[in-house]
Formats: sequence, C-alpha cells, structure tokens
Amino acid sequence: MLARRAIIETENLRKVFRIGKEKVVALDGVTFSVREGEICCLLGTSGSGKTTLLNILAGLDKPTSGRIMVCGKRLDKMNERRITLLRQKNMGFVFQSYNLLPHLTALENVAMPLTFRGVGARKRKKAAAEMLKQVGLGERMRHKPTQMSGGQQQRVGIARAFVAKPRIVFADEPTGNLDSKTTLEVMEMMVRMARENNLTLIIVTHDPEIAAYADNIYYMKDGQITRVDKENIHKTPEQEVPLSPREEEQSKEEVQDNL
Amino acid sequence: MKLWDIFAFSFKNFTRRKTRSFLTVLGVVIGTAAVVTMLSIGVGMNKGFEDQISQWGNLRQIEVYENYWWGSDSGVVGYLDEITVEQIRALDHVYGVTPRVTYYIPLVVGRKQAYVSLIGIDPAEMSKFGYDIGLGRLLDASDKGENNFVMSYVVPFLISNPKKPVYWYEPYQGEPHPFDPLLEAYKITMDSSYGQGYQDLNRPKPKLYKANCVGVLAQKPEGVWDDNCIIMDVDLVIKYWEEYEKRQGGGGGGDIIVYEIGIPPIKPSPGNGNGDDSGRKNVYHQILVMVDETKNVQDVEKAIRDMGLSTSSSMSYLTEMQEQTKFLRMVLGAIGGISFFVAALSITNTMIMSIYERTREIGVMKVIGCLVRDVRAMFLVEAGIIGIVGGVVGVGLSYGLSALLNYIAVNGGGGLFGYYGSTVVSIVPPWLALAALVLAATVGVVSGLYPAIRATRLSAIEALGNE
Ligand SMILES: Nc1ncnc2c1ncn2[C@@H]1O[C@H](COP(=O)(O)OP(=O)(O)O)[C@@H](O)[C@H]1O
Ligand SMILES: [Mg+2]
Repeated sequence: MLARRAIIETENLRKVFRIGKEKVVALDGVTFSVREGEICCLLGTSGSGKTTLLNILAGLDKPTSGRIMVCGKRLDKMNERRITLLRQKNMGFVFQSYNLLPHLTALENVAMPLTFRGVGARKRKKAAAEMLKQVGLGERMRHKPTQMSGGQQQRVGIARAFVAKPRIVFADEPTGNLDSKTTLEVMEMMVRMARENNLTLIIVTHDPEIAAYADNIYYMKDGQITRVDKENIHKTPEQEVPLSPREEEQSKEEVQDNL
Repeated sequence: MKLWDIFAFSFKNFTRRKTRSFLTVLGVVIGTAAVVTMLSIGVGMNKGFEDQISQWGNLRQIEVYENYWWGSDSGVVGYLDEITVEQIRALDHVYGVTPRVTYYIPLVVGRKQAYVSLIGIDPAEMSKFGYDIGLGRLLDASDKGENNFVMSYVVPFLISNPKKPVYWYEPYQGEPHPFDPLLEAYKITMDSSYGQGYQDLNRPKPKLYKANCVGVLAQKPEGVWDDNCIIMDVDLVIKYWEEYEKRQGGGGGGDIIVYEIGIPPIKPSPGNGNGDDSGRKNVYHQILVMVDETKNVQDVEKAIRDMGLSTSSSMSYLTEMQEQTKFLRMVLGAIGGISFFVAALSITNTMIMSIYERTREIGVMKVIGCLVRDVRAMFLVEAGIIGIVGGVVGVGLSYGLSALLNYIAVNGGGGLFGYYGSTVVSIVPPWLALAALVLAATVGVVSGLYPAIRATRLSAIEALGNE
C-alpha cells in the first residue's frame, strides 16, 4: 500500500477569508498527501479548518495561495467546468445532513451522479439498485427521504457517493447527525465499501473514535495540519491530543470559568 | 447530462409545488387567452369587412372612370378610350383589362320582354374577370363583332308580358329556369320605350337586333345581389348605340344606369363627349382592370390615377376601413399584451422563489457533479414548461371564448358586436394560435433567464455552508 502513488498532494495551502476588515486565516500552510486507496481521517475541533481544506481538495473552493494536485491535475489552475467534470468522474461525497433531494426516491437520488454524467436510464437504475442492495436498502428503493430514518438516509447518501465508482470519496462529518449505534454501522459500511473498491476515503470528524478506522490520521488546529500516530491518539502530549466532544465542552467551560 | 433527463428533472420540479405551479400557469393561461381573444376580435373585424366588401365586388378589380375634376394632380387629362386601355394593359401587375359600356334596354323574346343592363365588354378578356359560368360558355375572342351574349342567372325569370312587367325576382337556390335560355331566340333594341304600348309617332320605329345567348352565369349564393344583365362585345354595343342615336337625330338619351356606390353618376358620353385638341374622347363608360394580386391593387390604382382618371376598388374601401379600425385593434392587442407581461413577471417571481427554496439542492447537485450548463438548462426548461402548458391551455381557452363571443353575437348581441352586418366577431386563425404558443414558450424561457443565471451563480459551498 505504501508503494502506491499519491492521489492528493498539497503544498503550502493558505486560505484567508475576509469578513469586512477582519481576516480569518482558515488554512495556514497545509502540506500533506494522500495515497490512492488510503483511508484518511481529518480530526480537529470546530473551526480548525477541516471543511475548508476538504472544499479545496474537492475543487469547490480555491486556495488563496499554494499548490494542489488531485488525480494528477493542478486543481488551483483549472476552470469551473473542468473541475466539475473531474468531480463527476472521480469524486463522491457524503454529507453530514445527507443532502438527499426530497422529491426524488432513494433510487433516483442514488442514480443522480450517473444522471449528471449522462448515463442512460436503464443502466443507471441497475447500478443504483445494486448499490442500494449493498447498503441494505434493497427494499426501500421507492421511498422518499422523508419516509426514512437518519441512518437510512445516510446509507442512501453513501450509496450515492459510491455509485459512480469514484476514486476518492469525501465525507464531511458523515456521522455528525447520527446516534452512536448508527455511527458504527455507517462507518463500517463506508470503510468496507472503500476497501472493497480500493478507493480513497477522506473523512472529516471531531470524533476520535472514528479515527480508529483510518490508515492515517491528521490533526488540524488553527489552520495547521499535523500527522498523528494511530497508537498515540489517546496518549500524545496535550497539544496534539484531540479532545473528544465531551472533553471539548468541558475545556470550554473551564476557559470560561477562568475568565 | 442527457437532454431527456434535464426535461425529467424540470418536469418533476414543475409538479412539485402544485398550487404554485398551477397559479403561475394560470397567469400564462389568462395572458395567452387575453392576447389571442383580443387579436381574434381584430381578425374577425377585418374578415367581416372583407366578406362584406368582396360581396360588392372582386377584391382584385378596379373600376376606372373619367376624372370629373379635370385631370390628375399633374393636370393630365385621361380619356376612356382604346389608347388608355392599352396603356393600362402595359402596367405592371395588370392581369386583365376591358372597356365597359352599360345601357338599360329591353331584351325581347317573342311578345315578352325584360329590362336588363346591356353591358359591353371585351369578350377576349371575360374569362379573366371572375365570372362563374352556369350554362354554356363565357365570351371569348371569337365573339368579337358577333351578336353572342352571356346573361345573368335571373334574366329568364324577368322575361314577361310588358303589360304585367316583372322588374324584380329572386329565384331560390337552384330554381330551374322557366325555359332553356340557350335555345331561345332573342332580340335587343336600344330604345328603352319599346313595348310600352304607345308609340311616339315623331320618332322612328325602334330597330330590333337579333342576339344569341351562348351562356348563363352561375346563380349567386343566397343573399348576394345578382345583377340582371346581358353581356356582349363592347364594339357591337357601341355600334348599335350609334345607329340608334343617328336614327333619333343626334340628341336623345338612352337610359343608362350606374349603380356603383360612392361614384358620381356618369353622364352618357361615348361618341360625343369631352373632345379636346388631341382629338381623343371618352369612348367607353368605364374601364375595368383585374390586378394579379390584391396586394398590388393600390399601386395599380395609383398609376391609373396618374394618367388623369378616377378609380374605385373594393380593395381601397377595405384598406380604408381596416386603416380606420387599426387603432382599435392596437388597443385590443395592447390589453392582451399587458396581461402577458404580468404573466411573465409572475413566472420570473415563481422561479426566483423556487431558487431560494432550492438553494441547498442546487448546491448539492453542483457538488456531486452537475454542470453549470445543466443547472441553467433545468431552470430554463422549467420556465419553458410553465410557458408551454399555459400557452396550450390558453389557446384552448381562447377557442372557447371565441366561440362564446360568436354565439353571443348571433344570439341577440348582434347589434353590439356585429360589424356591417357580419355576425362573426372573433376568428382564431391557425397562425394566431401557433404564434401564441411560440410566444408563450418564449416568454416562459425569457422569464426564466434571470432566475436561471442566478441559480448558476450560486456558490455550492455557500449553498451547503449552513450545515
Ligand atoms: N466562507 C467563509 N467566510 C468566512 N470565514 C469562513 C468561511 N468558511 C470558513 N470560515 C472560517 O474559517 C475557519 C475554518 O472553518 P471550517 O473549515 O468550517 O472549520 P471546521 O470545518 O474545522 O469546523 C473558521 O474560523 C470559520 O469561521
Ligand atoms: Mg466543518
């Protein structure tokens, strides 16, 4: 696995948001790479820049400066149309709030990336149905999102992300809206499907439990990225240890108490 | 994305918000129906004029008279003679020309007779002037100088005992003639007092000429005025008239009738009127001109007036009437146009609202690989669907409204709506229906343009940002 070439490479990425006169440095010199087939986890507290990095990796946003290669292409140099085509062919997305189209059935939602690619109706329906079976929703293809639980909706979301056989799947807090039991199911499903199809999975989360599924773990803080040893995740010195959400809350309170 | 899938997406979105789509479509329906109905009244109006006027005469025909105000604007004086006939024949767009003289004379069959108009024309040109033959044949070049004539359908019914004359008769459609008109032996005389019972002893005995009927014109449709006339070679008629005048000793007036509307009565002048230095004079009462197409009538009329003659045509009446109602038709059209405009605004409004609602969905679609082009197409198609559905229903509705208007016009409201006796007030010609559909679809798409562009400008991350 180590011999594989990098599918994502970034060099000194900076992203600065301006809100009026104020500047927010969301990414502050991010240099890292992800190899093909790797399952990679971005940990970090809220506001540390994870989503911003993911957006830039997916070509949804442009960095203020720095270089970025995805699937062998310089994303920062491409126009919107070509980036969209690249996304169509190579990327899948799982969202925290599922983002299914409410008026479409599960089958139609899953088939959507293929529709955008111009795949014919029969072919894409077959692929979508196959995908739904794999996520255990073979019986609910004709259901609308509103008729499904959060966990079921997210499984539809996963089917949609994997249906077009992408090379990379981005998942931004995929379990953020789910209870712990469902979180486990969903994570295991994603990881299994990524492994089976040998594709790259990038998961953003602030939950250290989830990091356990990853090959590589990166920790983000104030727009900077650090690689974390999997074994050390609960043992490393304080500044490198990501806090679990409960700990995070507590620390916030402490800070407030100190004020 | 496949075009078909874009349509499917758009259609699903269209049917999603049923009430709102319905109301927006309703706006287009009302707009379309308003435009079509209003314009159909304009079309009906014009058709009414046209029907009315083409009953008076062929729309391609021009009648040429002597100019009573002495010449044209340039001071040229024209004469109704062979030279003028040939000059007119040489004009562009002239299909046929014939001189015409008209006398009111007795047509004699044995002891019976009928008063008819004896019309002299150029027999060679008769076929170009839109006569429908019922029996026998029309006159042609071979009838030049011959005593052959063609009569109108009603003439045989008028042939009666001069003591109990029948001046007017209206045969029902298809009523058979009392005798076979083609086999009868006829005589004509230029003396209108013939057969009145008394004889003016100071005047010479009327001369009778044998005449031969070669054709009977077809019966006119119900309600259309049918002239009682016989038509023969103009040169022969003039010759008969000159002989009559000579026998009468110069003066003397045959009765001539002119029943053209709006034209000052013509004094009989052939043979003795209005000579000038050039030696030319009015030989004929009128010259009739048949133009190749109605659209050229006015040009030909103008050219003839420039020759120092007066003209009149059904077409110029029609144009004048249509000119007079143009403003009314424009107002009607504008009323329809305004409702269409309101409908367009409501489409734009609906589309913008649905973009607000669908901001997130649009973002998702873009993230998972929908091209900006396809997003734009989806919204344009959706707006187009609103336009087309509204247009189709609207055109349907206007057919209904049109029928309703015509029904009201026939049943009681005639005085209110009818134009010049016509009862059809609203006509939706196919071109109008088609134009309305195209307009509705175009308005739909154009109204969707701004919202569609807004949708494409929408940033995907911002759309998803409020996670
Ligand atoms: N569109 C934006 N405009 C201004 N500031 C932004 C924008 N997006 C993110 N930020 C800021 O950048 C920082 C990183 O945000 P984000 O990447 O969303 O963090 P995370 O996903 O790790 O919670 C935050 O301080 C956030 O307020
Ligand atoms: Mg985030």
